Amino acid sequence: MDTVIHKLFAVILVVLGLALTPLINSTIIDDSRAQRLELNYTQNYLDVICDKGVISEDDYTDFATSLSSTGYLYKIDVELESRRVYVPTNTSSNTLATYHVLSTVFSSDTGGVKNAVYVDHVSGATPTTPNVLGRGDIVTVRISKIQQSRTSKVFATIFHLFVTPKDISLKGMVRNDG
Amino acid sequence: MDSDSLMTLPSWLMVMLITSLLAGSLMHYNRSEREFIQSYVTQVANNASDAALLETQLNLQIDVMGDTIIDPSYAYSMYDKIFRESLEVNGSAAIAKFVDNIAAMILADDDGYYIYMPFEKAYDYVKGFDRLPAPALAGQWFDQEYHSAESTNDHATMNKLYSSNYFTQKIPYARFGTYPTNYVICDTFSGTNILYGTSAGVWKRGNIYENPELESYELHDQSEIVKEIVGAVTYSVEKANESQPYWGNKFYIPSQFLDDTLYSAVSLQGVTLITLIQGFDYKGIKDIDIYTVSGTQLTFGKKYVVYMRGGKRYYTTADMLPPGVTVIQTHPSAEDAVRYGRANPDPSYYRPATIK
Repeated sequence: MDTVIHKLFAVILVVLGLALTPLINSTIIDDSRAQRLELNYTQNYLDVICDKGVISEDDYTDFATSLSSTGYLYKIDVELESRRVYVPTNTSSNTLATYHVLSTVFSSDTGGVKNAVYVDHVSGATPTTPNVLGRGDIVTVRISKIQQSRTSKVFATIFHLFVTPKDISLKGMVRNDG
Repeated sequence: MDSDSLMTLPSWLMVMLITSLLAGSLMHYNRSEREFIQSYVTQVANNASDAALLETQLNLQIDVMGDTIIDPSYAYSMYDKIFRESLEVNGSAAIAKFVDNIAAMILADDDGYYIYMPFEKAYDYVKGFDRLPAPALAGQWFDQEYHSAESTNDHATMNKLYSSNYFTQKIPYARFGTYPTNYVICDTFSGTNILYGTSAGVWKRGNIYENPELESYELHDQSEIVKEIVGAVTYSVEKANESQPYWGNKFYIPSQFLDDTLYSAVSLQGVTLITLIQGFDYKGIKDIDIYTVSGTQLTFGKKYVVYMRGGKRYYTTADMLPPGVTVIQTHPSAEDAVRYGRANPDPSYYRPATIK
């Protein structure tokens, strides 16, 4: 009886040692590689928007396609804070007020760029040339993993040692007029 | 043969093996997390630095002397906004902590620079300049309000004045040379010589009021200016470490930073923002040290003007404007003059080939 229990124990240990630990290791490596790729792709997309000054559907598709190469599912949000300069009509004042308006939020949940509506804050109407940004606008690209790997869940919830940032949000200022 | 002893030894070995494997993978996970968070925060800091510089540039003015007028508080507020909102680190405690984390922030212009420091230390820094003739004069680099508050030791007023903006006034790249007291001379890259006088605004040598002759004080040498900037960064880091004793002076100026500023393409001919962040704490990963350098290059171009002559719209550069015409528009380039001003180049400036 004793030997049977020991054999069972040995088999479990062998399975753990030879199968599970390499699996955990490989998931960890996949996770860290995916994280790096996410950061690189997000920064790349932000740079594209900031340099072109345009949020185009092609760039969005490129971004989504390259993100899908990591093997996870993501929710993509792009927020725009447009820069407004307030010139007071009072002639004695020589100061300008600059402020940012959180004007547009679009999300991959609503179908990406196509459904995005850019409202002109002056007239309140949808401009004829949408998705064109101006110099000084602030763009936020935020991605969050919908699906998370088992390893990071286990490590994050049980061990409470390492808290993985599930969201990557990067902000940048548009450098050129679109 | 005892089966128990035979089975237990390999099983204990296996337990040790699995434990070590798991511990190893845990350590690997820890390291990769730490590296990822560090690179993420560094990326965010780079974006913040670029945005802060662009915001400064959007609010920049150039006066008739070719001198740039900038407000460094734009740089700080935009850096703060982008950095904290990207990392989603908000709240008053986080803001106060981030202020402590800035070891040095320097906004360098083509003729002077601003240091981000709590006001008393900045005052000490300027007061300790060997180039300034007397400690009493050093107070004049600050606002008059600060000066009056300083003379009456009114710390509440000083706190109020400088709680939102920790930048000094512009410290010029100046040398005294052989000139006597009461003024300094600054020479800029753009070729114009800027004079900094006493608070009375009068140039005085002895008892005679006159304009001093201008000489070059080796200020066209960029390496001198970079030495000045690096000295300011070092001072700022040291002072920050004095007030934060638990940091223990562990932050060293990275050699890559020195390479960037001293030898490579980062030019101090435009506006340059240099920031060092020390000991930033993000999601449990402590001691994140970042440096960011964002630079521009200031070049001067010609202004293009659009005017009407003979019922037609023409454009030319502003210095070639013919007399007796009224300028309608000004544009930064010839392409803009054509596109937005709907103007043609003025044929009177054409020099057609003479037919022989």
